[in-house]
Amino acid sequence: MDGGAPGEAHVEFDRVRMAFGERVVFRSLTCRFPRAKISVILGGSGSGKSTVLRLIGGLVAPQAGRIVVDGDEVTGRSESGLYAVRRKLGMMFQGGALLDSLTVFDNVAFPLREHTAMREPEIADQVHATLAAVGLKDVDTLLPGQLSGGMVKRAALARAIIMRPVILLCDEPFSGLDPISVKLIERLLARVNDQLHATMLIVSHHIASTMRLADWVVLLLPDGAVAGRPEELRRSTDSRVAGFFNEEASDAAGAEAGA
Amino acid sequence: MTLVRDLGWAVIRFVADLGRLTVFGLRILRVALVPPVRVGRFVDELFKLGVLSLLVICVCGLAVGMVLGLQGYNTLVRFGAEQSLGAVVGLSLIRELGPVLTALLATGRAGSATTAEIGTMVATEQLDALRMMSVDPVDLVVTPRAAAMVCVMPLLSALFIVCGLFGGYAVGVGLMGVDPGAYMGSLRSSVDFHDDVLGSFLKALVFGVLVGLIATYRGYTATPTSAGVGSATTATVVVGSVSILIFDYFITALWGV
Repeated sequence: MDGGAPGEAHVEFDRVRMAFGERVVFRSLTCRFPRAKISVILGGSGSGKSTVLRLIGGLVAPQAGRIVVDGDEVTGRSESGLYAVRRKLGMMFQGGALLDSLTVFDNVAFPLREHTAMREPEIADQVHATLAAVGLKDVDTLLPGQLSGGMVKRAALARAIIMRPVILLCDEPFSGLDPISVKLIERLLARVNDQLHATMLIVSHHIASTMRLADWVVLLLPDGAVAGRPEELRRSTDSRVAGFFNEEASDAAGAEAGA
Repeated sequence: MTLVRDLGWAVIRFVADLGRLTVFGLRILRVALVPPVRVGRFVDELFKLGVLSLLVICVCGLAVGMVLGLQGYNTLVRFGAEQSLGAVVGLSLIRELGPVLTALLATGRAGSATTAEIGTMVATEQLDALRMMSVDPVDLVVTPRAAAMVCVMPLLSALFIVCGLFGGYAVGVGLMGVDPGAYMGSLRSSVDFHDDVLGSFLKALVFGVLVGLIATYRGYTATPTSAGVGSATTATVVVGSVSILIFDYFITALWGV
């Protein structure tokens, strides 16, 4: 459990240091995410889970270290240089980040209109197929503000996958959802992984979903990262890892009992 | 000692902010000049910033013109010069009040709305989502709004002036009994197209650039929280209004407009 991923690494962090002002998020983070697998990034609040995704997308820049995404080094690139890397990525933001002035249809069609020469009938076909794939129907004319939390997540997923990215980044896809919606999103993500063979990086603190979904888990700790297959981590004798899993499991049990 | 240190930091922050604002402005200019031009977005913004401001501009222009007519008449009548009311109302509106008050109104209505809208997009990660889709937010979100503000300001100012002239005429001629021929005659003879009308247009254009730049910059750099968006909106109104008045003085002093 030294951060080495099974098979070929598709995304790689090498001694990355990241700080926001005085607050250091990672001192020296080294980890790898395997190609075409579902990797889940776990960690406590403020451990930098979402920052990992933002670093991969080049939305924030590290102070030191290298980040390699699908063979391209992200660090040190200009904004226009990053656009070439981002064409390979799809990102599902925690709150959806749908453009609130556009309808669901226009949101999902947006990347196609920006980056392809497709005509409107072709765009409409592809948008409807993608919306159907994430289980959304009759939502074309709705604005994001008129959707439920689960529908926003699914619309955001549809927008993230419509360009068929080679790497899909999902920031807390299960947060704020009821157990039925969590399972629905889980199934959707698994199906997307099957169909697109995309490398998926999912930030979550939902242990049960992680165990069901993940091929590979990276647990962010204050002094680095521990990585392994889900069952390996669950059986780990490392007190930091066991502590995290036991704490989260008891929290989840408490939450279910409370519900 | 603390006072000197605080003052020093304030000056450094101001200069740094001014530098960032200039870079931001140059970025907008570069994006605006490089195809593709987002005509649809630009027209949408023209509608939001211009058409939706028409009512407030007309009402305020009319009210200011009526006040000018009344105050001007009461002052001029003491010197037996009430026949010059058209010149007083016209020159005041065209040279000064039209562009300045329009810019202040546009800052309060359209400028603050622009900042709040862009700031909310920052807070809800919509601009990050655009970046992740390889779309430059300055191109898609900022430039159409800033360009629309620049184009709309002279038009709104012209409308404000026309409404003001009508208000002044209604009060001076209709209420106070000034001769309509004398009112229009003094207006025509005193207003010079090149010096006054084009000068007024120039002022409105400069104010449009200022408000467009400040409103979009404040929104774009807003702290991504509700409080951050609120304070960015307030900053747009305060900084925008103060900048308009300061620039008004310099334009008048340097170009005699």
